[in-house]
Amino acid sequence: MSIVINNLRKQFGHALVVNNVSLEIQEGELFVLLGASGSGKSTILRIIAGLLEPDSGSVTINGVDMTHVDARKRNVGMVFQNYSLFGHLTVFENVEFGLQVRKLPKAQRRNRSKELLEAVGLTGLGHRYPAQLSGGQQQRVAVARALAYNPRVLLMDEPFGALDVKIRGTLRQNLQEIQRRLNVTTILVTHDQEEAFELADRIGVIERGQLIEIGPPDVLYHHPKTEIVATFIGGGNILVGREEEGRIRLGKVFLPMPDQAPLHAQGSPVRVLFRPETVVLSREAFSNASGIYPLGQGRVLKRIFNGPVQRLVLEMEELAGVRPLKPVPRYGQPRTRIEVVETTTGLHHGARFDETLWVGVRDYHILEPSGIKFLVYTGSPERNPAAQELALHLGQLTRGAVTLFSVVSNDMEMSEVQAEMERIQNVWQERIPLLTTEVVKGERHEQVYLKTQSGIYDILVADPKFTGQHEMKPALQNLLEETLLPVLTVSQSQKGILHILICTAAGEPGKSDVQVGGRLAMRAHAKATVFSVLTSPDDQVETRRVEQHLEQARQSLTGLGIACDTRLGLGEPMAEIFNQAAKPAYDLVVLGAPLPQAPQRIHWPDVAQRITRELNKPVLLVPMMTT
Amino acid sequence: MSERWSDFIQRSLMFFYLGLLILLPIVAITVASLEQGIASLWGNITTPQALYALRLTITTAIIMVVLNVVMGTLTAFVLVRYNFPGKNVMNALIDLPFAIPTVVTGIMLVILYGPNSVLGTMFSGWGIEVIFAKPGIILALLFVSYPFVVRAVQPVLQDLGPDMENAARTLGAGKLRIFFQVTLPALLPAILTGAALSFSRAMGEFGSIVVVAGNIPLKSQVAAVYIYGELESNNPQGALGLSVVLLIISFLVLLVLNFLQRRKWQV
Amino acid sequence: MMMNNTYTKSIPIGRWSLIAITIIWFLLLILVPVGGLIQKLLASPVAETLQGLTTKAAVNAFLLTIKVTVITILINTVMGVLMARVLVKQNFKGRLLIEGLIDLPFAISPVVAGFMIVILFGPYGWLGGWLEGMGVKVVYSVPGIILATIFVTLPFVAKEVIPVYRQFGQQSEETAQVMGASQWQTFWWITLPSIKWGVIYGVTLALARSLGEFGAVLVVSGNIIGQTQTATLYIHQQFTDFDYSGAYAASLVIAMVAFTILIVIQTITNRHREA
Repeated sequence: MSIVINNLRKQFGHALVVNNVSLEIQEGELFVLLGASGSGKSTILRIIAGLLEPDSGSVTINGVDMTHVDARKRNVGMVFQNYSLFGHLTVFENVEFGLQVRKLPKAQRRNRSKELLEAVGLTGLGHRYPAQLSGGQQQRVAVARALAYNPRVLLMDEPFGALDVKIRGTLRQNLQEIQRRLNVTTILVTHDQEEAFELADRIGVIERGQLIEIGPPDVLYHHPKTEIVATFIGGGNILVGREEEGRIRLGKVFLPMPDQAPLHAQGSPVRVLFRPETVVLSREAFSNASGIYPLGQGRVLKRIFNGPVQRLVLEMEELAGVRPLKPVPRYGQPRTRIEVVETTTGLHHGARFDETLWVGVRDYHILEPSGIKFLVYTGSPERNPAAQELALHLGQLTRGAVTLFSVVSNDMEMSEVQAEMERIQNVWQERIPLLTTEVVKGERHEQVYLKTQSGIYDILVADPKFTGQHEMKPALQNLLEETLLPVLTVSQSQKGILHILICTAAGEPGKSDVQVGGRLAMRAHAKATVFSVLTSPDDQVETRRVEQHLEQARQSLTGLGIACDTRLGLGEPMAEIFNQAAKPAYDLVVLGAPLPQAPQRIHWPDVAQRITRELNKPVLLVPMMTT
Repeated sequence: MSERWSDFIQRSLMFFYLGLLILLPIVAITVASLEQGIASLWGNITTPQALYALRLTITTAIIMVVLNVVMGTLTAFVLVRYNFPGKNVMNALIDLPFAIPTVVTGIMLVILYGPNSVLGTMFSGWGIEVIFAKPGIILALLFVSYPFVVRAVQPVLQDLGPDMENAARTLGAGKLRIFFQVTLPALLPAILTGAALSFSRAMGEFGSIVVVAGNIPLKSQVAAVYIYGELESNNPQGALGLSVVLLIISFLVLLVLNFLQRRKWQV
Repeated sequence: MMMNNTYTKSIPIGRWSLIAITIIWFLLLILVPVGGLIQKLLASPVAETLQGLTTKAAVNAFLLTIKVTVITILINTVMGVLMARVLVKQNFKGRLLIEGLIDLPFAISPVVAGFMIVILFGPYGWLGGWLEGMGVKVVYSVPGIILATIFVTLPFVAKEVIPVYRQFGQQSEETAQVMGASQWQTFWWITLPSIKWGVIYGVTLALARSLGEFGAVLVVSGNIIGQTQTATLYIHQQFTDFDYSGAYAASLVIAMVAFTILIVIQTITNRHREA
């Protein structure tokens, strides 16, 4: 292992620029750190070079811990984006600088620099000054200079960034040849995906200081794990379907779930990626034997002829209603569109504008299901921290995303809360990589509502005294109705969950209480008990219905790999639920809360309030959508 | 790391140097003034002589700044935009006032406008007194601060290029309109910087004025010369008042310049 | 170079009158006074001029000016580069305030500057009393003159070096560092050559100012002939004593030196711009 980076962290002021990055790079490997500008990739490079010290974490080069070793003793070569050639020195003197520092005799130095200049194709230019060279030549001098003293590692910070697109290609080849020949371990930082594909043995994708995914270029392109990587690298179509009985449903179209696809809960969203070039267009329907997965018919909306290929945008009839993540739909656009790249095989052969064609895919890939996204309303500075703490523990447990959200009324509060948020961020960042905090000024209710609408959150975590009113009932009811998000309320601090009680009412449409509770249990590796109450045991029909409902719930939870059992209570629902929840085994109670339109048998917020107040257990209220 | 150690030593050296040479003298003069007492200090500032000196300094400075802003901007404009024989020589000689010692400046002006000179007799024939009077002071100030506005405006004008003006011309704007609505606003921060530097120089100018205007109280004595006069006559207490006033003005000008420096990047 | 032909051709009268006004202003304000001085000297016999320049007082005054200037420049060059280095490379609280503090001597009247030095280093000053106890006389003596000159020329080198350092020095230093160069190697081989023109430019400006400083030195020196009389003080003295030929001759010498320095500055600037 040539370079090992462990849990690297670096903060500039308030900004966490490098967030818990770990990485291992093989001897002789050409590793590319790919990321947008400001993603923290250059900072990582500077930390490896020793020009910056990390706040925590370590850098090991060839087995030696270099974290606190001075840059000049690390023996690494570095090429800066603007090359940073010494303008007052000739090309020879530039290349020989590292050798001069190492006190090599003059004759040897000159031999070595001639050798390197030859390797980069600059023989005979040794006596020129950098200002007399072209950009491409300067870049090559920088490479030769960085390699002159046989560094253990070559670090390159956007080495082609300042160059003409035309000569980049040639220089890339040149660099790759030299790197292979000298077998020097290289880390190259770039924002250019094409460059990364062309050069890298492996690519690490960096986003907002986090290393999202690592892998060889072809794997990252065809089988990315995350949406970020899928969209950052190459063009693509990502559609959100649903798991349905072991298949993927996209509108009216069904696709088989691939064997290697990550585990998806029953009925959970499935993100399907297919690259534009894997789409096949045909004027006839696909036969079953073709090995092509049909997506129905589509109409060509846009055609851009590019020479060897043409790029098409198709509007898909049968995929209507499917939520596309990419291409990003325009507001109010009802039909799903997909992007297609078609190889042009001859005049009049390809798809034409406005033509309706059969569309299929040769291959598709399922992205990993995303973790649970918690939105935590943290209230005012003097709030009860229980909700926030539980959310943080759950976020860690479920490897989910946690957004801490605060609403303040004035600037003084703002700075106070910001400081608090920063403190939490520091403590928790390592445990929850997807932790973000946000403080806004304004009216609480409105801001929380706006926030829930601004992103895709799965669970809203709130203090029982959300609105500051003494009665939490109306507040909770409002939240549920307004946000349509499951709301988790907590009154006492708790470190995690081991056993979830899911109280479900048979016959409620949607079964979202079981789904949400199940998802939480699966992610948190908790046990689950599904509980339902039978009000009139004499009613045969209802009894069967409830029993069937419980069995279905058990099956779907077991299918997710959750240890699960069912209980049936008899009597008045509110009292039964309360009694069941009171059993010490349960540490979280999920309640399905029908919205007012539904036939209301129990006033759920009342139960929720009793459980939180009297039992000190967290309650997750799941709004039950009714149609 | 040893690097931190050497960083620390270098920083400490800087603090010591600036502390000894700039901060400590300022503290010393402040303490001396406070020891004297605010009332007494105020008394020193408000003597008729001191007040006259201050007023004279400010009025001559303002007149000079106005003239210098107009002529300095014009000079910069002509040097950047036009070609004429001798342009390069003139451009090189703009800095001459920075290089010539102020006493020498004063002497040159006395030679030129003194009572026995051609110009001097001509002006006194018209009833205008130059030497030992206001016009002499203004002339001296104009001489020593001529480069400030020119050198502040020149690079900005150069960077600006004629593109913006040409664009305005294609939009149908006339020459004067272009200058006042397009060029001038872009130059304003630079012009103000030059003006502030000139003003600051004028408030503190001593060498050239003491030669040209002499040391005649209530006539040609400016603030710096007044302070020197008090010191000469062994009355440092009397010198403190105007010194503090000039020092405060220095700080204010620095603040303004700092503000202008920041403004410049927004253009 | 910046000229646009159609632009200038359209209203040549306006253009030429602007040029004429500028040139006339420049001639009258700057060149005519210089010409007047030269003409005065040419009018007087050469022997007289030479005699004025070679009096003991004159020679001593010039020697003192040279001595003061050399010391001042040495100290301010070293400290100027050091301060620029600290301000560019290190990040500490109050860095911007320090940058402002360095500008201060430009804004302070030389007379006030001299006065402050007298207050601090004078026989009754905080430091003066202590130094005098150790047998070092500052005010009304050469150290005071040097101190005053250092004060008024303090900003030049630092101010010229800082932007150049920011632009070239820092990344070059990092590069050298990664390549294994020690701090000293980096400074001498890489940093100094990168900031060289900034240093030279700053030193030249400081040199001109140091040679010509009058107000601050006048207040601090006590103007003792042969001991604390610098060239500018000598000129002033001759002038107030109505010994015009001596004053004119010394003035011209110092103006010539200043002019030479000016040409050097111009050459540097031009060369620097080309590079």
